[in-house]
Parts: sequence; C-alpha cells; structure tokens
Amino acid sequence: MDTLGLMLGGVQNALAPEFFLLCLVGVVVGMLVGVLPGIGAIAAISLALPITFHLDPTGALVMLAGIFYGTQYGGSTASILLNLPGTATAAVTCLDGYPMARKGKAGVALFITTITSFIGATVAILVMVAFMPVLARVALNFGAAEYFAVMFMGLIAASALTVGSPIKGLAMVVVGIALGLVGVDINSGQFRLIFGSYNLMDGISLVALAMGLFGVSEVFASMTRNLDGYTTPKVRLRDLIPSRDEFRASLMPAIRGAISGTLLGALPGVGASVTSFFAYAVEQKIARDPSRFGQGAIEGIAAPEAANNATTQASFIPTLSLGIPGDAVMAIMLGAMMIHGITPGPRFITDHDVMFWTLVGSFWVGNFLLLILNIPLVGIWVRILSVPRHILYPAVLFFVCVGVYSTRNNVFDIYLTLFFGFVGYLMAMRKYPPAPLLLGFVLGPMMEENLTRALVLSRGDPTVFFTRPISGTILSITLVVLAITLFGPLWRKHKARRAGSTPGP
Amino acid sequence: MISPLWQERIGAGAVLGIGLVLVREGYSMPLGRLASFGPGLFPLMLGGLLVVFSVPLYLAAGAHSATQSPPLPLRTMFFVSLGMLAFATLIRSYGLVPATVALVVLGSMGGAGFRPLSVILLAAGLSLAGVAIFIWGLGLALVPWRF
Repeated sequence: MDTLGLMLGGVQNALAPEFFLLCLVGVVVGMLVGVLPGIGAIAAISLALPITFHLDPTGALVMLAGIFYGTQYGGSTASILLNLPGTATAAVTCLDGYPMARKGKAGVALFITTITSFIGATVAILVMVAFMPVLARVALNFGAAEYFAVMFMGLIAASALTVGSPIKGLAMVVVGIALGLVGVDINSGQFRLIFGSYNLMDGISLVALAMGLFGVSEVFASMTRNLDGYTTPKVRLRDLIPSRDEFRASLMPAIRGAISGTLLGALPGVGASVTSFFAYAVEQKIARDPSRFGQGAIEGIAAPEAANNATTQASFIPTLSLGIPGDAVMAIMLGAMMIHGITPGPRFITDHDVMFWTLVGSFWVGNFLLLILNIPLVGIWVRILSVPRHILYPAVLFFVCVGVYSTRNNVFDIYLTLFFGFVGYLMAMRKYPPAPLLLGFVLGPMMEENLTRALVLSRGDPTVFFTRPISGTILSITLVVLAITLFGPLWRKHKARRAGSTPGP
Repeated sequence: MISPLWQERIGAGAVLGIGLVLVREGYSMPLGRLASFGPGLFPLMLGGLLVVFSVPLYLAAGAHSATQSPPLPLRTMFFVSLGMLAFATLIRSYGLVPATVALVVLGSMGGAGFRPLSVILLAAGLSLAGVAIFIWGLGLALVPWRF
C-alpha cells in the first residue's frame, strides 16, 4: 500500500539524528512534566514554544508533539503513587490506580498503564494515517461556512463537555475569542480593544496568555500547598510484570478505550480528559462486577490510559487536516505552526508531505522511546516526584519569564503574564475553566474571518449556514448537543419533581 | 473572606462587566452590515452573548457555591509578583543574571520557609543554565550581565 511506504519513509526520516534527538528531548521533557503534578502539557509546550522558534518547522513540531504525548505517559505515575493526577487527563487513573498501589500492586499498575498507553497511541496513529488523506480531500470542499461550523462545534464541545458548568465554559470561550480580537482587525485595518495601549497593538501574546493562565496561576496555588507525610514507594523491576490474568483482563478494556479515545478525540473540542472519563464509565457499565471499580480494578486504569493517549494522537487529525485545533494544546501547536509560516489545512498533507510523514514517523519513534523509558527507568520517574517545591516553582517562574520575554523581546509581555496569572487563579477559585478560553483565543480571529466571509458570499443571508449541507449538519448536531447539555439537567430535575409530587398507585 | 455565594455573584458580575465593555467598544466602531462586517460587529455580538450568559450565572450562584476555595495565597502572590516585576525591570538594563537572581530570591520568599543556601544555589544554577541554554545554546537576544 502506498500509505505504508510513506509511513515507513517517515519513520526513516524521523530516525535521522536531528529529529531523533528532538523527539527524545521532547518525550523526556513531556514525561517529566507529566509526572510532576501541577505543571501540565499546556504550560510545558508554551514554555518550549519560544525555544522552537530557532529550530526548523519539522523539528519544532516533532519536539512539541513529543512533549504532548509524553505527558500522557507520565501523568498516570503520580495518580497511581500519590493519588494526585500529574495531568488533568490522568485524574481518572487515581480512582483505581491508587487503590492498586495501596494493595502493593503499584508496579503492575505502572506497567499496565504504559502498555495500554502505547496501544492507545498505536490505534490512533493507524487511524490517523488511514483517514487523514481522505478527510483532507473531503475538506477541500469546505467553504467558509463549513470552517465556521466546525470551529463552532469545537468550541461548543470544548466548553460544554468539560467537567463542571457548561455555562462557565461557554462564557470563557467567548472571553477567549474577545481576547483574540485585541489588536488589528484584518479587514478594516483598525485597532480594536487596545484601550489606548501601544503594547496591545500587536495583540496579546499566546505564550503570555498560556503561561499566565496555566503556569503562574499554578505557582500561586501550589507554592505553599502542603503534601504532608507521603513517601513514594520503591518500585523494583520484578514488581512490574503483571500476572497472566491481569494482562488478559486489561487487553479488551485497552482496545475499547483506544477506539473510543480515537473516534471521540478526532472531534474538535473533545479532549483527553473527556475521553478518559468516558472510557472509565463504559468499563464500569459493562463490567460483570461493577463494585470492583474504585477498589483497584485493572480495567479502571487500562481503558482510560489507552483512551487519553489515543485522544492525544487523534487530536492531530482535525488540527493538521482542517487547521482546527482539537483542544487547547493543539491550539498552541497550531500557533507554533503559523509562526513558522505553515498553515495546516487540507493542503497541508500535499504541500508539506515530507513534514507530515516525518511527523507521523516521529510519533512511532516517540511512543517506542516512551515504552523503553517507562519500563526499565520507572524508578527514576518515581524519584522525580520528590523534587522539593521550593526548588521547582522558582525554576518554573524562571523559565516562564525568560520564555515570555524572549518571544517578542518585550517586557510588557511579562506584565501581561503576571496579570493572567491572577486572572487564572481567580478563575480557578470559582471553577471557570481556562482551557476553553485558550481555545477561543486561538480560534477567535479565524472564526470571525470565516463568519464574515461566509456572509459576504451569501450576500448577508444568515441561513446559508444551514442551507449548505455539511455546515448545516454540523451546526444542527452541535446545537442539539448544546441544548442537551444546557437544558438536560433542568429537564431531569423537572421530571423528578413531577414524579415526587404524584403519589404512587 | 467573601462567602462562596458572593464570589459566584461577583464572577457573574465580572462576565457582565466584560460583556458591557465589549458592547461599548464594538458600538464605538463602524458596525457595517451583515453582508459586510465592520470591525465593531463581532465584538458587539460577543459582548451581547456575555451579557446574556451573566444572567444564568448569577441565578445559578447558589447552586455553584457548594465548593469552598482555599484562602488567597497573598504572600505567595506578593513575592512572585515582586520577583516577576523585578525580572522585567532588570532584564533589559542589567541582563539575564541579575534578573534571574532577583526573580529566584524574591520568588522563593513566596514559598513556605526560606532557606538561604538553597536559594543562592538555585539562583546560581538557573543563571548558569540560563546563560548556557538561552544565550550560548539558542542565541537569544539576551545579555548575561551589563553594569
């Protein structure tokens, strides 16, 4: 098959010393970041972003991608050993991973999560390679209305499907879009929302926003948080190998998680935290004895870990083939690509085919590297968890400041980062989610562009979004999902009240 | 400490406030027509959405106030801010190393318990790493020090 040849060619490219090194650095940094609770993929990628400006575009993407999927391998380590998720997507792994560790099965849990993570990533990469060219061809028929519809769907999914209040998510998306508009309006050349500040004329820096919302706010929250009296257990190589029963019990959940993670994760807006919860819920529903969940059921870690890695890889699909980021991290990757002068979209695979296949090849290389890093070297990662906070957080601040300053050589950006640090902390206090804000920020200008263009082409007719078949279908589904998310709980409460007030027969 | 209920209401108020600002800014610019957006139309629409959202947010304040958030980490916020501002002030005129030292020393004061030796070592280590990675390694437009 043609595709197989291209893929193998990509792997060969990815094994070239420069790319291999960048991939290795990326996955190691990713693992590190994933293992440490608090600093997440978004913070790490935004930190790495200024560094990648000096690399060639393919190398930059290889490294950033490595950081991204690397975090998904590391995140479960802290979940299992400390009951503290290393990344938000590993939160579900705490539920059964920590009880397993308490029962002395930490090694098995760590091993199984590594293997299932690899399975998840593999399934997603294969699906991606099989479907992306097809998707890109379909997307060539996309007009402005379709792009707007897909972006709209992505933003609604990201905000409505996050854990917590959908209204807060939606509000944050809108705020993010508004922040994205700060600066010059492309169509009219007029400055918008700059409030008289010269520094805002160039817009708000993505790095400053991301680092402030996710990095500085986390430092505020965690610098004095007390993790009292835990000791990370020693994990020996011998403890890692699971029994045959355990292995067999985790295989099907891993495959189920991989498939659901890939399919859901390919939808713009659906992230790994959603799919890992979904995979856990599915396993619990179909298990013969659901009461085992929460006590150390191996299915409870196998499925979510496969799902979150699958989603991480699958989120490249809409990003690369449509130019629409699947989640906040992809939004930053998209920003990185655009800074390097590359516009992802249907033409990406054909115009930059070497880059695409090298990137895919690097996925394989990276995931294999992570497999190797995770199994024999698990003891090192476990020890990383004991880095004291008073060293870690000042170091984070250092990287934030240097990174942000070096992006535009502008001191104002540091002030901006600090400002967003406060904003992010206040948002977290009342559970206003920051990820939809970032997604809205990156997508906002594109959405406006496509909205206006669609309306220009239709001469001001707003029904065009529904009369065009593709955009109409996407928007209708999105609106239905939105209605269910917003009004579903109210409807259920209404029915419960009705049932309670009528006496039984 | 403000009660969670009022925190929620203030949050809804903030959303309303941002919405109103957007509406005002949008209105102050040409709006154009639907077939030809002016720069102000999209901000106006966004502002309108936020104003609308603030209503259910305010009404649901009671339902959302179940979670109590920890008290504001004022000391951390103060010292981290001071550190970052010091970095911003020093980096241009005095270079990376002084800025780093200021950041690390001040930032560390925001944590629990100040250990002078480890702070000095950390400042030195990060300065060295910074010069090595960012200036020598990546060639960023930074100066190690300038007096």
